[in-house]
Amino acid sequence: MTPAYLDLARAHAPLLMIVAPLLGAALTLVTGAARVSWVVACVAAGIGAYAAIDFASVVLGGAGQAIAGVGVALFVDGVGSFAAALLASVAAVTILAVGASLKDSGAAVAPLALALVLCIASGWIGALVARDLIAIVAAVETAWLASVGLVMLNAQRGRGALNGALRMLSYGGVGAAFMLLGAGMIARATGSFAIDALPLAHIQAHNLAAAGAALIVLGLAVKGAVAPMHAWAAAAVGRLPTTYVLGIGVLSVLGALSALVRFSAYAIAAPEIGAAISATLAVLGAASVIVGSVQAVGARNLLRLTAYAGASQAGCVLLSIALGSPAGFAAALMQLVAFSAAAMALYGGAAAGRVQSLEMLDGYGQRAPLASAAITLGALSLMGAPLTIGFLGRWRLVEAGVGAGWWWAAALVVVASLAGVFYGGRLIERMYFRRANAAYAGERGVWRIALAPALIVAIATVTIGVAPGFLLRAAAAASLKLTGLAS
Amino acid sequence: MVSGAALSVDFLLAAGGATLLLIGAVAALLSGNAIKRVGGLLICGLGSVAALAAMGVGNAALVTVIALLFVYAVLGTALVVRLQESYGAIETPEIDGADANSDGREPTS
Repeated sequence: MTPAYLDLARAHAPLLMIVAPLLGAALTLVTGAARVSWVVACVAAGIGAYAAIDFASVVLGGAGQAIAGVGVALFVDGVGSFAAALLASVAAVTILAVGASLKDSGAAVAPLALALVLCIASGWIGALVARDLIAIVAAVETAWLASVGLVMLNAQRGRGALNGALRMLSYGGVGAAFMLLGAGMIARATGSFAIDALPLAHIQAHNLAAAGAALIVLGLAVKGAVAPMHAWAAAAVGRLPTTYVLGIGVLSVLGALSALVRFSAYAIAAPEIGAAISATLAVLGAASVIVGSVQAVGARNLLRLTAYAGASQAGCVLLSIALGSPAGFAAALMQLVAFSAAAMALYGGAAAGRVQSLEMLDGYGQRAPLASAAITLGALSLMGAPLTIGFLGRWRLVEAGVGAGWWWAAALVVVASLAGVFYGGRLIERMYFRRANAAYAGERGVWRIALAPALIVAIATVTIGVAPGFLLRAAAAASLKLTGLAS
Repeated sequence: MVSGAALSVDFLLAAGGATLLLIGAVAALLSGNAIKRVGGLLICGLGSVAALAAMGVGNAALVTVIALLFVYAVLGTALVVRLQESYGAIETPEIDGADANSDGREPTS
């Protein structure tokens, strides 16, 4: 009996990874009690993550399951399955970590906040497996509006979150309008809203289609906190020193970047508009690396520093996609993994001690050794230190860039890493080589068992960096099945 | 067979929608007042609806976009009310100033 249900679940895995978090969100609201709703949310996120990882292992492992045609409205490809598994895993870890902030947010608010995190995960996963461009926009907006709601809920701890929510609403709304207009322009030029029709369509109105695709790229770049359109990110996460920050700073940004990688894979594959999209991505990526790195170097708030460093990392992702080759897409997927691991470690470590300003890190190594270890490993991965997954992601980009003759892209990666050494090194220096600031000397680390996932992720940045075989194979398989055309 | 006049009307409507979208986007991003930002967002969204309708997009897609706009309006209004309650202002320079002041109170080493 049970194997039959498991087979049924596997047959509908793409749907399950969207529906499981949504059902969990509804149940968390029904249960009411904070701890019970957290357990329900953990189970729902766990089921979604299991379904997504199992499906990705089947699809990317080459076990023979058809990639396309899993339903009328859904269309799973290599990038979608890889990114959905990553996103579902990050969502599960986020929900686990959020358990540490249940008391901070208040018993009445906790179920709603958990439901919103699950909606964010479900929305972004939906965007990764949807076929229709309007459905993709609807899924993206579901996730985005849930993110805005989550930031607003955290205004109970500090009103500054409301300012962040306003910026998210403004930037996200404009991004949504761009995406909708872009979808309409593409449909007008190709005669279809289907994302998989884009590479195969005989596009007559090249400029209209290229402008539409560029608008969708811009809309997703806004939500992915790609500089210089990332003003919302620092405002939203900068005053959110709880584990809920993982839902915005990691889950939301990762979802947007994954959707951007997926859409770009189809747009670049279209011969008539591929070159224009590649150029757009290259310009955006270069700007994001430079602006993000400069801002991270000047940041005085750990959460904002991480957001700016994320913008720099997002720039590297865009540069990888812009290459348009399977090697470039594999590098982009590796960098998505590296970004999520490093950001979770940094945000998780900061949330453990409610750290906001860099001054609060002084002597943190003594006050909260585990949280400091997480921040250290995250910082090392962000700067691309050898034996970390961050190094691996950047190395693959340098390889792909040099292979394509894009020496300037390789140089930008080096610049991003040098900036990372500066701002990452500053964090490590403050934590281990300074005395605690008098104002915070009495505060101990508030490491709780529910924050352990952030430490585990931090350790994973090194373990995967040392033994990256399975991840490299998965990324390579995903990039070869980029648009779902090769099964 | 679509006539040239019909095509030009469609084009003008789409261009008008896109213009409305850009005007709304500028207001949503640059306005110094939170309620004007929300208003700008709605104008931006209405522009995208008009442009999509002019491009012949189906009803289902238009209903989806209008539903999205409605959610943005509700969330934006709630946010403005919360801002007024928390800061006693909805002017964004005042709100930014208040946040900058609270950041400034952080102790330094």
